[in-house]
Amino acid sequence: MSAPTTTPGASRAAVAPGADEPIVDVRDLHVAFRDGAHAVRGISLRIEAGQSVAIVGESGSGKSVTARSLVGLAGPRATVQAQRLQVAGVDARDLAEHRWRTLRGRQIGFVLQDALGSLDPLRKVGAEISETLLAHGLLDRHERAARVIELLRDVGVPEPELRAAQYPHQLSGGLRQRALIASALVADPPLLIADEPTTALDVTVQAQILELLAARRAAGTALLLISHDLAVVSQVADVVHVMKDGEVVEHGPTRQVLDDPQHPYTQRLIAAIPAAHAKGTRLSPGSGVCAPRPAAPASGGTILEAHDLRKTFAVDGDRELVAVDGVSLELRAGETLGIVGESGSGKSTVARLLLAFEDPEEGRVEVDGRDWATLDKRTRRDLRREIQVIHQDPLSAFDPRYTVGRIVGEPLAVAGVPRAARAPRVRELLEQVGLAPEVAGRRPAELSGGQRQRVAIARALAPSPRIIVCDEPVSALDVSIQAQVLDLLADLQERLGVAYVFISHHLGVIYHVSDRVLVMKDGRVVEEGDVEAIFSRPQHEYTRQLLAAVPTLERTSPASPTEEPS
Amino acid sequence: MSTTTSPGLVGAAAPPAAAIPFARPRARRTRVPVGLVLSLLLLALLVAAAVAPGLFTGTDPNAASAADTLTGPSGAHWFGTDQNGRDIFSRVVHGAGPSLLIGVAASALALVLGTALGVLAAQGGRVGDRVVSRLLDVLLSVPGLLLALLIIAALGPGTRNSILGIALISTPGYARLVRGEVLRIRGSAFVEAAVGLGWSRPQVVLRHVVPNAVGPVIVLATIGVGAAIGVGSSLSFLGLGPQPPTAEWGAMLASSRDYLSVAWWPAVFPGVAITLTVLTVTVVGRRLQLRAEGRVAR
Repeated sequence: MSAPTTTPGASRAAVAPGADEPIVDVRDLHVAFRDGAHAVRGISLRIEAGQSVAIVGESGSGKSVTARSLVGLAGPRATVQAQRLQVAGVDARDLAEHRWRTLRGRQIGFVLQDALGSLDPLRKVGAEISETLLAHGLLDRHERAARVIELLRDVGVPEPELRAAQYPHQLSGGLRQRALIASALVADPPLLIADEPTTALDVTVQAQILELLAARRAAGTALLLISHDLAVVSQVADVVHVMKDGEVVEHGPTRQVLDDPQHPYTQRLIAAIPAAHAKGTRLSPGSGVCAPRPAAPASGGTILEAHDLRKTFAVDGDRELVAVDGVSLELRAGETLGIVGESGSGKSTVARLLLAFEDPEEGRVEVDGRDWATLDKRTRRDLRREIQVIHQDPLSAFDPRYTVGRIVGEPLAVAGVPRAARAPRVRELLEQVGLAPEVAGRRPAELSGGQRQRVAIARALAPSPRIIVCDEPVSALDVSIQAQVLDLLADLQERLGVAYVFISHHLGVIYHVSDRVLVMKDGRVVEEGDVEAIFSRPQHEYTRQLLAAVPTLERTSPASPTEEPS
Repeated sequence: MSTTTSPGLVGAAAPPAAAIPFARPRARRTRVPVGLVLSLLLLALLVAAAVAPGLFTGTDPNAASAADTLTGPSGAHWFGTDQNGRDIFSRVVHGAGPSLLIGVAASALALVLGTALGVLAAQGGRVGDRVVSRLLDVLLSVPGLLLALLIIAALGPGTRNSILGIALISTPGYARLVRGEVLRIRGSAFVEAAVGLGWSRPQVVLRHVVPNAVGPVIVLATIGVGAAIGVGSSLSFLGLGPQPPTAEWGAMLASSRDYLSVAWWPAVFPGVAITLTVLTVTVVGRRLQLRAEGRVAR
């Protein structure tokens, strides 16, 4: 364990100097839980007035616990110790709950990731926001209402009067996040802590929220940003702390850490981000550059085709929502077709239509030249072997009673392979996805997210399909695990020649994996083409917006290969 | 509340961080659930008594003795004797069999019927759902015990008909639960995944939907066993259960009524047996339920 860090990184950042006491000054913070988990192991942190500091790490790194400790919300099972825990000029060690309450909201605004879960569903947005003022006895009723409207306008909520009178579920994800930020800012605290404030948001909305945070910062509010996403952090933070297993492995000015990472973990994190420069390379450590994949394996013929698909859903009784509107696509053997779009763009519905989980109202889907709609039930079931699926959340896609071995062996059971004969094939499949044979006896709930996704891949491979539809397969994974899964999918494609329809909202991931790309918006394909062409010369306005909204590391290294399509 | 700092650390000259006594073993250990342990023990005794009453008593439960009528508890007769001079301890022990049989068999039958009806309602389309659900509504609209009485009145008294009657009145509850579970599970991702693997719809229902729907219901049925034993005893009390001279707790209670003013023991011991049995089964069932819901550690 490291001795108390010599100089907290923030003090080097040459931001907001002066004799003023920092808002947060933490030295050698330890947080342990009753079950023995030692979540935070001696980190030091300093946030000056008006400064923007970020803590970056993967799940389990202790970043959220650190943030919560700063507002006394580490939980009743946590033991918080520090040599120094100065929060808003108060020694927060051993601070009584009622004293914490005077700090929360007034001195420190706290924004959680889950905007819907953090807003009381039974309470109007305006009432929720003015709550903090009420709790601290600030302003009278009329002034509070006025302040709420003013603040909602400040954070970029259109028609603030209307929105203040609405319930959380009536707001879109982006508006909810704004409302939540507004509720944290309402008492004008000098420090705003935001725990993964943009993780659940679409990239264009994320860009707006990041802009909003940057604006608050410019207005003098200090920020503590907690994120797993280095790129997000690079947009806003002056200082970055990289956390791993409860310790800060590296900290310093953002640009310096991103451009010249010293710690191997930071280097790995940065390398794992699928971005333009990494295409055709492996993302996870192990082997450096894999043989660059042939740009477009034109060898294969068409194995999956969709023509003019249309699918609508009834909402609120009579209103119709057109989820998919005239989508056509074509997938050739052995290639990867990326489908990118924001939430509500209809990309997942397209996946379900391709898999014949839903039938289109118009149009047709042909697998191997056979139209789902014309097949009888039996042939339909047989054809399913050719086209398999990997979900975003593998755990929900497994029967909770099944062990891994039974899950992976199930497609074999479908094919009529007797129980005894399945085991060797299951072992082989597990090996193919990099899992030990012992995993067969475990239950998915005992596995990590990355392992579960490997199990899902093994099951998808079991019937030897020619097509796998991957619906946001890495969205729930940490970036280093995501890198491993993407590498695995690439390896399998190379070895087995399986074709992917790869659906994601993440442009970096799509760019990394795809040969060709469809960009979807509001149920339509707005642009399609070769991946390099789309990313370097987007034709459609929406594609341009999407690409512009992607936060990048803005690597300043000279000969960046970003701009050179092959 | 949440923040504690070990006093020795505050202001001390920076002890090495590693020396901080973290995760110190707290004095709070998981409490042994006394009620649960007692219940499990008692349940084991009950099952043993039901299966092999001879282990506990050598006395014939039906051996009448005109000389020993209504003698109080003593060394020879631990629980005393009844109006016919039969040993009450032996009768209580032998009564465990019929009581548990009625409770368990009725619950099992109700579970099977309920599952079948529940799956039928959920999978039978709109018409199937309407028919089954209204049938269940009708069953539920009649008070349970009354309905059981009606059935036995029609079929005649006896152990088998008690089981049938009790099963029928417990069925609607299970059926509704199973229907809800099936509807919930049918919409889950793993069911769709199973379709994607190429199973036919009926196979998906049999392999994935029903087993997952029945799991929580089986747990609930263990609690139902306690209730069924209670209903069974009520029916016997009314003379509709196992017929004399079979030793059965409810029937014993009924026959003790007339002598209550002179002898408490013929009523109290079977009564305590019924109470303890229902309590025991319910405690164990609740525990299973909590466990299934993941609210207690396994």
